Amino acid sequence: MIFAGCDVGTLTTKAVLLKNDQILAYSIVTTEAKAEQSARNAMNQALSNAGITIDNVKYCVGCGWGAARIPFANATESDIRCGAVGVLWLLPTARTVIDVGGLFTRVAQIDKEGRVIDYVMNDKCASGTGRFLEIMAEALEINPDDFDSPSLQGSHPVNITSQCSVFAESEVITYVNEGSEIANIVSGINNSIALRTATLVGRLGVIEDVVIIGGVAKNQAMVKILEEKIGVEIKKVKFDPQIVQALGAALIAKQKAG
Amino acid sequence: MIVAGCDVGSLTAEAVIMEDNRILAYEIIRVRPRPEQSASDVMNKTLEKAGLRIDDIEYCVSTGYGRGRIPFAQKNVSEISCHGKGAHWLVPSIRTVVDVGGQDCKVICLDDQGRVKNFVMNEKCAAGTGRFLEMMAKTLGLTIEELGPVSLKSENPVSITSQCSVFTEFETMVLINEGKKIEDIAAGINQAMARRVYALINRIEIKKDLGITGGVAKNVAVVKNLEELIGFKAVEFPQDPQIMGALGAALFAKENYLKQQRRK
Repeated sequence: MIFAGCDVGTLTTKAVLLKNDQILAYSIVTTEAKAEQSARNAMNQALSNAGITIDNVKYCVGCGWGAARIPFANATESDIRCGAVGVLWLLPTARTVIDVGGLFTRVAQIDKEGRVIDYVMNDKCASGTGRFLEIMAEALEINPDDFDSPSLQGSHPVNITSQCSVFAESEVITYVNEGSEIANIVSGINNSIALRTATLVGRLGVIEDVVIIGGVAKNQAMVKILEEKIGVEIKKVKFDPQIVQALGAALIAKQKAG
Repeated sequence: MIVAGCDVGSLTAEAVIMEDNRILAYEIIRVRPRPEQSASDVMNKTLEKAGLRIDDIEYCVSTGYGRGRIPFAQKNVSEISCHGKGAHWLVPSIRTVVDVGGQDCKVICLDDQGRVKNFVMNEKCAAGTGRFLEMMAKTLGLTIEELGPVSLKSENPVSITSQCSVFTEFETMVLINEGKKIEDIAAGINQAMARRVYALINRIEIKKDLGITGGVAKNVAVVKNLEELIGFKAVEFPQDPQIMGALGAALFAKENYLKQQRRK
């Protein structure tokens, strides 16, 4: 039996197909103007990767910003709950989930059943999120993935003093114009993202094991700085961190259908 | 006596050349990567307009965020003092200046001589600054100049719930895709902008008359919304509100030049 999870995020849309207890296929596509279309694009790609059609899917759970507008979803579930379920499936000892997504960063403490005990998120400011990283990448004319590149980690990171994404972008442009090395600017930005995330983590406190998911979790250079700032080890999930929430949605689909 | 003021801001640079008590010429340009470059470009354009050469300028004062790096300025003065000075010179009854610039927003309280008594400033968040309006205009496919007039056509302004520029940009895209009219979204954005500026005004005790300076003062809808929030009309300046900092700098240049002459 096949179950699906679809996560329509603010920047990317993810779909995961689960067959029994195995991940059959998944996809990540850019979120388009309409949530419905983004969901279809992601699901069609995952289905085609698996060589099946939507009729083979028994139950689908949607989550993310566009959850309510996924045409083929049978139910929706909160992002934090999906993230918790996905994380626990990959790492049963996880108790704190840091999720750095497109526009939102969330930190949640969870119990061993995946119930959310408490959480904090950035609700007023996009600083340190995926979109923040994208804006900085555009200003530097590099790919967001390059922020993780070992050759772009500078030994003398610049100091990004603004928290605001818009002002930080101006700061980055000024550093470029003044001739700062790109590697030092990249490291400065990684520091800045880690600081924003650590501040949020600090508001909630951590219970080990700590796990990081979301698109920005792929930036291992940033994760390393974050580890230093919060003073505990951050465990990696043995899967693409960007699709853990969609995976959780698929696991919940299985429970709901069962 | 010919003096000049040069204001290098975060988004635009302005220069004003004065002869005695008269504005001879002014220019506004988009900033270049380096403040030095912006300053010489805008000054050269202004000089050309006035039919003068840099040697004709007897004293120049710089202001704005790049004010310490202007090679041809003899002195630099903070933009808060300059905005107060310029606004008071044009409208002597003014006691409050709301300056909404490219990357900050300031509310400046003046005494009857145009001196700064007190001020509050937002420089931490782009909401409520010119950059915010620029971002949303771009998302709506409008120029910054069109954002005000287009929104006046709106009969049903949308409600913008976010404060953060990045969140609002996303909200704007969603509204466009939901089929909301551009004028209604533009009106909602101008309202949100006015609310942010008003929140800053509320942090300080203000007195009449009040004037709005900076590039955002040219957005008719933001000015109208802000006037509704504060409950009275802002004064109209007989000059472009965007040159207030540079004008104030030129007036300081004049004072400094006269002081220098007296010392000789």
